[in-house]
Amino acid sequence: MIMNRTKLYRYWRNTVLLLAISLTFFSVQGQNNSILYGFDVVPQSNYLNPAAQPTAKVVVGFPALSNLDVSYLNTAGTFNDFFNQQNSDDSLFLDLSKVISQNHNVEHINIAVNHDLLFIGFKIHKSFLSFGVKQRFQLNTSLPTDLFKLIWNGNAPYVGQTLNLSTIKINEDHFIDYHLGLSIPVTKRLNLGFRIHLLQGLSNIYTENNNLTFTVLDNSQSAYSIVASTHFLVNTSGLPDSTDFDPVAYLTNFQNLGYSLDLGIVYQINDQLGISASLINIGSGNFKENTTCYQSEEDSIHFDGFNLDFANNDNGDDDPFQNIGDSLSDLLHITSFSQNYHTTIPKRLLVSGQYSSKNHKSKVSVLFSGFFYSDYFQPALSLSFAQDLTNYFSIKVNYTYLKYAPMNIGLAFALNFKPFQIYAYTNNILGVKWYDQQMIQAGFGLNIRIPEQINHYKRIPEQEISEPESTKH
Amino acid sequence: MQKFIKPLACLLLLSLLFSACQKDLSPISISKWHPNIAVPLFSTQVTLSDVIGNDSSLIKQSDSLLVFVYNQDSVFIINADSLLQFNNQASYNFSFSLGVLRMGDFEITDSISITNLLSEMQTNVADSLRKYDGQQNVFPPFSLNEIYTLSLPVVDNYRQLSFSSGSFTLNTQNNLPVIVDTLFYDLIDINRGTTLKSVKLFNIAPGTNKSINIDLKGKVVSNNLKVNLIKLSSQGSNPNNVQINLSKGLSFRFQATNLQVVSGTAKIPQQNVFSEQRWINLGFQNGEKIYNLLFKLGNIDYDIHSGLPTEVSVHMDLPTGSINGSTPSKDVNITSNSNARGSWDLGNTSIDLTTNTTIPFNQFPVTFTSTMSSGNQMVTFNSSDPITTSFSINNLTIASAQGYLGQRSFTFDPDSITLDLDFLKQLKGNLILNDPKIILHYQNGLGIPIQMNLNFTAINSENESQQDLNLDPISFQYPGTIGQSVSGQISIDKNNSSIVDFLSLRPDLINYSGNALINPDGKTTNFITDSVGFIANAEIRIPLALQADHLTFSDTINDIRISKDNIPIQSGSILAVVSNGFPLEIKMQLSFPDSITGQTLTTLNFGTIASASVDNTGKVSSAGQSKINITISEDFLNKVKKANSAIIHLETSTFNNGTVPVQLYSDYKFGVSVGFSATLTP
Repeated sequence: MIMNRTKLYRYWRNTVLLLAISLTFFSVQGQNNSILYGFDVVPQSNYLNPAAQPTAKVVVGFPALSNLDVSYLNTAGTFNDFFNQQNSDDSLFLDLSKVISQNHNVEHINIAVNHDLLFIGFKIHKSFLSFGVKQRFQLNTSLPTDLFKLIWNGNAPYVGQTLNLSTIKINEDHFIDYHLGLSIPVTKRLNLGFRIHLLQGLSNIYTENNNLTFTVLDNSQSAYSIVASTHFLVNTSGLPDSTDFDPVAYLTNFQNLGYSLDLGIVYQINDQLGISASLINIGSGNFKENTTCYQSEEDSIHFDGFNLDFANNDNGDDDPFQNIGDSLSDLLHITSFSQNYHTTIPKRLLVSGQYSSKNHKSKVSVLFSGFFYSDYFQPALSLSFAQDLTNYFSIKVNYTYLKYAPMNIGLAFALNFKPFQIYAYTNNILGVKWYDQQMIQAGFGLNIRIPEQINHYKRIPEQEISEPESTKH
Repeated sequence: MQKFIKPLACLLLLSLLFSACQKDLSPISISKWHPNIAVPLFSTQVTLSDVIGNDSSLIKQSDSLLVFVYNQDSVFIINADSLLQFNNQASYNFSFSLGVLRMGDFEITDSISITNLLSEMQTNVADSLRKYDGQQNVFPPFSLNEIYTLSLPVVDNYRQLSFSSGSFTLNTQNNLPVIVDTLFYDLIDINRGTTLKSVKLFNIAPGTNKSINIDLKGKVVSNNLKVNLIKLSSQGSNPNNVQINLSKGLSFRFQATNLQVVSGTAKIPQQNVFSEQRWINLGFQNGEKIYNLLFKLGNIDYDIHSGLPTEVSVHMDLPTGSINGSTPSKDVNITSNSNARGSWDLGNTSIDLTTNTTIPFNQFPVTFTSTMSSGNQMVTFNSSDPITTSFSINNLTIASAQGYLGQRSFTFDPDSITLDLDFLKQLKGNLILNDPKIILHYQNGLGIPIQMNLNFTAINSENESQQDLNLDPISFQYPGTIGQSVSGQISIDKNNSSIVDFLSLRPDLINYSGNALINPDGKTTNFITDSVGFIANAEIRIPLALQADHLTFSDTINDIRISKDNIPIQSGSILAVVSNGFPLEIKMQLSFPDSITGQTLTTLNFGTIASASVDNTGKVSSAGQSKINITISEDFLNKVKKANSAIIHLETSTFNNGTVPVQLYSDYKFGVSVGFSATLTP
């Protein structure tokens, strides 16, 4: 579409504004959830380590309410890092200079939503079997700082430099997860567990490769030359058409199936000290239905301005901005086609050590976790303290360090009104001031929970752990 | 109950915490966003040929050197008609008289019997004859006592004639059976009362006749004649008997032959009245001596008056002429005492003008032949009756002519060439054109030496200056054979004229005039044809090989609208990278006058574009490289809002400040890449 000059600028302005707000204003938060790890009173903690056994005999989650977990992480900064306040009238104005000055190579924005539709778990002898259906959505984007520089400062300050945009990645997954997990005590001290997932892919965006670079040259041959590497391939599947979206068809598409596996291990060194680890989301998705792949035709473009052909009486009477737009559009040919493709799901590693009080009402733990994204690893380190305040109420607080969001104070609690359980958690309680936070996460759930009869005050001896007694709370 | 208080208190606390953290997002602006963009705007490469466009007056030679060419056709024209001009409407008068007419022969016969004469004889003789009429008897001697008159029959083909020649034979036959001893009679013209002839005859034997010729020359004879028998005598037949027959006697037979008359009244038989030749002298007035002509067009207008008493046919022909293989001729019928007017077409007629042995040129004969007949009409005529002929030759144009056209000069009508040298005219400053030429391309089908004195004056009407070409006389080649033509060209260049100054004047008008002298060396045999005359076309060729020193060019661009409000730019600069393959250094400046006061608000200086370098032939050896940065400040944008026009001022010099001649080739390339850097205010 040919835009005139006014439209072009309006387009740029709105794009920048929308992008800025998008980076800072998502109200959903992601699965940077770590506070549930080891918070065994909540059965859904089993999602983070399938070897861990919740302190429940039977758990039936309220349909669609058993767990809703949202998380958001923006390494570039907080809302206030993007928008400054005018002293005169308190109005906000966009300012990317602070984000740019951090000089991170790449900023990541991750959004995740996990929503249990169905969850059931119960003890079989010493094992814990659980299964359920959940809806999972995750959006992981990587935006290079050079992109922010280009947008905010323009390209003139970087004449002669190459702005590397190859780290731009947008990966999105939306699928229904049918899962079955089993935690088995192998020895008195060792539990192993796994969870298998059948993934029904609903929509997906997968940046398979991207070699975008942008350079403005000022040389003796031309007055500014734009040289760009433009090779990229973005696969999509199931994206709703803005004009024709059939939600039933969207939700009943079983052509895009994937599988994943969670593995876990819990080892109790002694009565108070234990270690555990899990590697979850080992799997992939295969997309065959309703796929559209976008690829640049050219690996690179070289634009010296539109060509005035005086010989053919093309005297450039047209709007030069329009001509520039047309020329660039002509250079950047994007083809679309359909093909099957394969994606990997970001795996997550969690390794923890915990120490319990003798009465097991208090627990401190340290957790190292990290996401394996396609091109980077996002680690986190958490220190936690959990306390069963009463038999009805448990609480956990933690501190999590993330590389670009170091200050995250977590809080979780569970209220157990037999047989009901309500719980909520956040990895960053400071997220209530969302405009000052880079990482925001929260979750809650409602279960029917039949707990094991465990008396923390009269903990059975360690040697008797192999055959725990089934007790009523 | 207490066990629930703590958890509920925590939840309440959290709720308060969330509710306290609201953020007003309504007024978000991007007012601090001022990206600085550097964008390649356009790049282009034009050849000098592109710059010139489709200017038909600029052509490129095979080596791509550009040459300004201006053609003016038919600058000088000499055609056959202008070289050989006839004295049109010249009159040629010829008079003819009827002269001697030829008349047809005629004869008059009659007879006198004895019976007619009995009364004039002695009585006894008469009685005897009556007695023995029809019998054999002696014919008695006899003689007439009185004159006996015999009126002859009237001749009906004339009434009276005056003869210039002719003979009248009087034949008398004796039909009597006896010898007529004496016979005297007079032939008398009754009308005129004159005796045409007195005849005396003797001893006319029976059955014999005797003739007498009368020469009619100088005689006037009417058609009413008689015979007066004056004396008739015989000795009779005694003693012999003869057959007496009174019905027999004398018979007369008068024959007129070989008659030519000078006047009279008669029926004029069919005859040529006259056949005469007259000469027409074409009467050239410049010493021309023409031997042969082929008329392309033309006619002889004639007016023939006949004073003859009857209709006359006049046949005219040109015996030395030819048209389609035949002799040109014209027939005219003229009734009595009247005029006949008409036109005799001479188109495509060739004619030999050398048959007059005395003056073997410029003349040709016309033969007039007249025929007349009065039929059965009796007309009165006289040999002096006139026929007058008046000729005028009109509208003659020649297809070809051969001869000597004389030595003379004639003047070309002054004319002018309006030049459209905009590309030079708008330049101010010193300009030296290196090798301009005016080439006269001519085609000459005239077999005649021609020398021209031509005057060219260049006029620059803007500065009211002028410059003559100062050209020497020019001679042109000419063909040696009629029907052929030669082509050639005369180059007027810096070696034989002042053409460098002439064209460096940057004329908008060239006045030209001149005269041509034919046969400058005297008599030769010339020929001219109308199919191919002499035509000269002028071609002004200015090879773009020049030196220019600080030539300036100014023009105004109207209706510009540059408003900062229209463009989201705070300030910026334009960067141009120029690869100048033209051997011209160019400085450009744009000034913006106030639309109301006219005062210059601001200027935009584009700097200097370096010239390409040239080798010792003036051809570009390497392009000049320039990088031009034009700063457009916020102040400039504010000022230029008040302007609605821009004055472009361009100054250029050829390589090395115009000290070196440079040549402009069409394939010179000028490349420019333009980009801009601007601080935007989205």
